[in-house]
Amino acid sequence: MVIPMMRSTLLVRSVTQAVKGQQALARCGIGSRIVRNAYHTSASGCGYGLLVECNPTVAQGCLQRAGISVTGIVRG
Amino acid sequence: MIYFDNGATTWPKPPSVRQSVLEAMEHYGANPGRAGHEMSIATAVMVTQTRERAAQLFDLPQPEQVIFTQNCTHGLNIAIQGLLRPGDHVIISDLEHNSVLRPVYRLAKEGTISFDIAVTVPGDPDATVEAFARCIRPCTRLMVCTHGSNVFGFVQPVRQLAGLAREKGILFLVDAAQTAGLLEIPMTKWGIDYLCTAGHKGLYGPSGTGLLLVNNEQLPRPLMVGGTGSLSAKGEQPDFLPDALESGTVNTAGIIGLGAGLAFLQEKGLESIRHREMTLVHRLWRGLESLPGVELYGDAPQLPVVSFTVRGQASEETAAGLDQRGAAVRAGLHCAPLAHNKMGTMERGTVRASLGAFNTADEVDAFCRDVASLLP
Repeated sequence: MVIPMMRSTLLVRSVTQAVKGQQALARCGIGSRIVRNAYHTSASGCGYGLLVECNPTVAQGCLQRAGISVTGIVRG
Repeated sequence: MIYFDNGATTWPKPPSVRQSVLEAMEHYGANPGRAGHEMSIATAVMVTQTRERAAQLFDLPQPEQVIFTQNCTHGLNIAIQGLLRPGDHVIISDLEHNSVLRPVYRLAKEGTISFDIAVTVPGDPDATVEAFARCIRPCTRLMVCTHGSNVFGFVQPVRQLAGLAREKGILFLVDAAQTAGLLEIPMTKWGIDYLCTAGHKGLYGPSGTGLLLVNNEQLPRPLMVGGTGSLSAKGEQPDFLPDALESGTVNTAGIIGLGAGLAFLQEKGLESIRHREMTLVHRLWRGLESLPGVELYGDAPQLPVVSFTVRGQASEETAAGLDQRGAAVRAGLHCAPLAHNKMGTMERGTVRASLGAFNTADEVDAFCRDVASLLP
């Protein structure tokens, strides 16, 4: 039985935060890819996110400990 | 050519810096922070790396506190114009470059602010701090001090001044154009709120780069607002760093080159670079001091910067003569009339020899011979 990997995008404020976030996740042993925020709203506009294939709550905790604000989580 | 104009900009740059700029043009040519394609992300990573190196060098906890500017003047204008409000008072030193004096002067002439010039005492840090303290008023919001005079190389007690500012609840801005990459300046440890420097002098980056380092929650009002690649649906400029103070496309190749310059400094060590340059400048000082008709200013070099004049010659005349002999220096007022007023050299200006990491003892000796050949 194949268990599908959870895939989520953790949205951050800026590309600088995205780069820092990728480093922080790597230190937590979590691989990630910097992506554009495909789900931007009219309230926020463009931005960046970190695409992870793990429990997003764990990844979010890692980012927050590194001082990186997660502005939203998009699943799938 | 004997290049003794490193105070204007360092030359040559380390080979690693030249190579990294070429690599940037080849492989990191996208706009960072705007798109999601591979090269844009890779470029953003390189730019962030430079921020991280700068944050490490200046003892800042976060790379976001590093703002890229065009040069030191740009950063100083952001800080000075962005922090001061109507009715504020500011204190500057009597050695400031026009990049500090002019924005302050303009705001004062417009009637927005008032300012005082603290009379520094070279070689007496306590007296210099006292000079600043005497200028403080209830409405003093900002103190600005150059860490090192670009004309005479006098080093100012910015650590102690930061303490004074912190004690009085005053913001403190340091102009480190001549000292970054040479003297350690741990901003957090010393309590410095803002620091501006050039990327293209002691940090060995390309021209067109500078740093504004922000270590206080009070952000300057940006000089320029516009596209930041963040919160783009909003009419308001983002209020977080670095985006709040960086609008438009940054000098990507320059910043990547600056990153290589910072790596060069880390590899060599500031102490090693400083020891080498100070050894050379003392040799230069002794050589010039031995020449009759050459006047030096100050007691001994504090930075690898020596200003001198030749009796009976205008400084530009001396510089032109040196140029004919293959020696590159700067002459005149060095955009620092306050310093010349202080030292009595306004009329003729001075010839400034400013050394860098790649100058040699042979060059120093040859330079002294060149100066000797110009003596009447």
